[in-house]
Amino acid sequence: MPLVAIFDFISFLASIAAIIILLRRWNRAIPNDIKLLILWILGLYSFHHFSNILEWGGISRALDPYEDFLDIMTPVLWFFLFYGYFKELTANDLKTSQMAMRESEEKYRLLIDNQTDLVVKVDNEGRLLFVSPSYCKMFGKSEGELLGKRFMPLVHEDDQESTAKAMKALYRPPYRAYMEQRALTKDGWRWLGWQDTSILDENENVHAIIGVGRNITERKEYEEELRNTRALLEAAISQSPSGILIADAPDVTIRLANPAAQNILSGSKHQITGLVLGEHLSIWQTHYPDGTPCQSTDLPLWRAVKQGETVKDIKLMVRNQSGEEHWISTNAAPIRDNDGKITAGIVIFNDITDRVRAQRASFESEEKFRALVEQSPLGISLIAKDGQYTYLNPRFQKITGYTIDDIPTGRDWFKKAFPDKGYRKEVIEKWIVDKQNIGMGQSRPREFSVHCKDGTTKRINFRPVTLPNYDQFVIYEDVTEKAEMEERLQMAQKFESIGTLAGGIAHDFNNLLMGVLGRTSLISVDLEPTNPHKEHIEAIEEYVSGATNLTKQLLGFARGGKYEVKPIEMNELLSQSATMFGRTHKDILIHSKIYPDTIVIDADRRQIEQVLLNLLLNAWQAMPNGGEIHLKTGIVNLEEEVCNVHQVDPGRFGTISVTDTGIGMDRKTQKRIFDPFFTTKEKERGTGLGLASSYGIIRNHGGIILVDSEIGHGATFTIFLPLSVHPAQMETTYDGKLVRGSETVLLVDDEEMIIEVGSAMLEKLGYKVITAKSGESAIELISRKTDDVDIVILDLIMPGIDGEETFDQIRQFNRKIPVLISSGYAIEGQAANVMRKGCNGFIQKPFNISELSHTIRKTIQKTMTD
Amino acid sequence: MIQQNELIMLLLGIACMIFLLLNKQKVKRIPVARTLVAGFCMLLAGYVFTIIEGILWNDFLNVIEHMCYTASSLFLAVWCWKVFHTGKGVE
Repeated sequence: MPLVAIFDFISFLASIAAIIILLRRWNRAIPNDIKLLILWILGLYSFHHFSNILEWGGISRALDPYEDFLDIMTPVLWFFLFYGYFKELTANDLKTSQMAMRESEEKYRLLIDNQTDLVVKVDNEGRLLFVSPSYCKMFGKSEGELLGKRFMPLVHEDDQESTAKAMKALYRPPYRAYMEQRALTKDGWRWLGWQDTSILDENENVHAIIGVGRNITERKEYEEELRNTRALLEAAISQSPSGILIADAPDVTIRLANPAAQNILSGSKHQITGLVLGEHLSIWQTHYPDGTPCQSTDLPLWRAVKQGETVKDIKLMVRNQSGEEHWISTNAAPIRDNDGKITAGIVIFNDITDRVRAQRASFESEEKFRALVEQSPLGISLIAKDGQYTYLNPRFQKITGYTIDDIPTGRDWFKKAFPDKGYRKEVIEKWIVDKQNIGMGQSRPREFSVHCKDGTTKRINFRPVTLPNYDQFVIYEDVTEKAEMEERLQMAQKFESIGTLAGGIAHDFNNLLMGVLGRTSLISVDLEPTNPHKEHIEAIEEYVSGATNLTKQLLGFARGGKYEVKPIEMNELLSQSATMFGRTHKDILIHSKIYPDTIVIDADRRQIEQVLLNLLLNAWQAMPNGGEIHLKTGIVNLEEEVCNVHQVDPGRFGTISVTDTGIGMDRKTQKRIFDPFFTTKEKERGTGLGLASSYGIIRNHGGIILVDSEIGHGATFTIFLPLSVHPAQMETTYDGKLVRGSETVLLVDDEEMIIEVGSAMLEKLGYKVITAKSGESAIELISRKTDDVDIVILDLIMPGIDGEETFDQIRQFNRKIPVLISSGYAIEGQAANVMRKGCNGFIQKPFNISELSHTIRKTIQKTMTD
Repeated sequence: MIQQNELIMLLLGIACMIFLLLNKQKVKRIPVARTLVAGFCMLLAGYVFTIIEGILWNDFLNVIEHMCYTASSLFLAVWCWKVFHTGKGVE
């Protein structure tokens, strides 16, 4: 089989297959005439190849004649196939184009009809050729009423010129223009914005104008409002007393600085704007209130822009270009766009320099006043008008012990400070009366006894002042010590007046006793021990002795009886007194705790003995059923503060304390215990002079006597006497025998009775006696018989020239003649003065013949020894 | 020897080809246009070889001619398969 036959066979099969495919899918969206043309072509192909197969196979050539004819049809069919396709495509294109046109027209109509924008078409004369329904609606006219009419009459008179100008612009490239005008619509004048475009003919001539307009009234109003708001904001920013800076993100470049900011920062607008915030730090130094430099990243504006923080009330100090320091309070916030992105930041700062300075000044002033109030020696409180305590100074707390927690209100204060209801009522009434009657800022001092937190009672002077805001400012002065001192002063004055009286009585009384004692001692000397009158004489001497003790007590608190001041040893004195007292009071037990070292004081031994005796007697009488007495000596150093209270000189003091286990006494009794003639004992047991006398003696020696007692717990009397700088002198004692002499004695006394008794006693003792009844007589006698007189016994208190002056004048004539002072009473200091001047001895009236004999001999011997 | 009908076929084919070339843009819009045009081109080539075989290389060109016809049939069958069976370009 030839090769061409194979090709024909394959071609035949392919054609047949194609025909089968075509027929199976005949419903494809291909025009039927095209499908028929393809079927025809495939049919011709099949016939042609089948004819060849028959021919090459030698089967038949009968189809050849038809084959040539049909072959000519093949290219024709192909042509029609393509032609048909092209025709179909063209028809489709037309159809598509028409559909598109239709759609376009529908869209356009829809657009125009539903267009809110206004669409018009005008000719070169400005006559309306087309108006959209929206245009008709806006102007409230029909299309017929508008078409062919000029639009210009509808335009606002003020906008016609600009409209005409814009219309002219449409006649030259780019043939487009935008204009805004007011037009008279059915709702009145409205702003319309027009975008106009010229329609050109083939010769590039404008034959019509299409205008698309929009109601921009709202926008114009909004723009107007925006302009007004902007103007308002600009005015507000420029006129604001607060500094305002606005910086752009992201690099914090300052865009706006109002005049206040320029003023505070001392820089012009041009100097400030355009700078990046960080660069400002090199120009304007910024610090925190504590002096720490403020970094650029810490600046409020920086934080607002960079970190989106809203910063409130940050205080900073800015040193501007002029070197001025400004304190500013800053507030900053970020400015964001609609998407929340930070576009800028604003900082508003107020110049608070004056306020800060005022606050500082106020703070310093307050500190000063606080220090003043807190260091005040007076208590101070502040009470709000609602009665709440708002302040108590430390001194108040020291005086009363109360803190503000103890007395939060005035009511609590009254309850605690005045626990006694009656007294509290009295205090409150006075307080209210004062508050009502005393004007604002004025004060009426009042003194009340306040019960302190520690249980003590203090005398406090109150000075309440009502302040303008109706708060109460109260000053408290602790006058307890002052009151006590006044009390002591009154006591001292009382003692002084009583003492003066007592001294005068004692003087005369001693002279009388001197007469009695002198006479009895003269009788006693001559009487035999077996004489029956001896007993009576001795009894009289005992009574006189009792009377003498009484006058001694009187002289003690009269503080005039300190004559023989010598350095004496307190331990020895106390031991002797205690031993002597113990012998006669067996119902009590005496314990002594003696200071191991010697305690030497300058004192009148007899008077101190008397004090000890008084204290021991007082202790004994406080223990009616017996008990114990504890004696103790010691040395203490008293500070000035303590000594001032008791009006003595500070220094080292010897102490003696006498403690009993008796009934004790209350505070009221303790206060009066040293009063003259005050006694709690029955009449037979006390005169009320013992402790008063002791007080006077101790005070007269520059010492202190204190009492401490409680009911049922006994009492302790403590005396403090200033230590001596001299060694102690031993006391000489008499054996009771008379010591006689033969010298000439000048007896000087203004009392006749003393002259008589004294002369008799002296003569009894063997002395020659010359008498003088006054100082003048004595001086005259001495001036004449200076060598004849061996000793002078000189009374201290005399009318005319007194004993002290007489002594001075005697010394002018004879410096060696011994002088013995004799006195029943001397005003304070007089006897001591004479002793200091060199007087050789002292004898206390009344004295007996024995005492006189020993004193004269001692004085003469002492003078001879010197 | 050139037969008269073969010459007519060639002329008609060339005319059709010219028609296609003039409507080149439209040809491109025919579904699976390349295959269809290839089928036509093979047919036209067969007509050319039919004419030439009458002048020289009778046997060889006859085979070529038949190869072209076969190719044309195959291209047309493929075109039918793609367009009608798979619906390419018509859906």
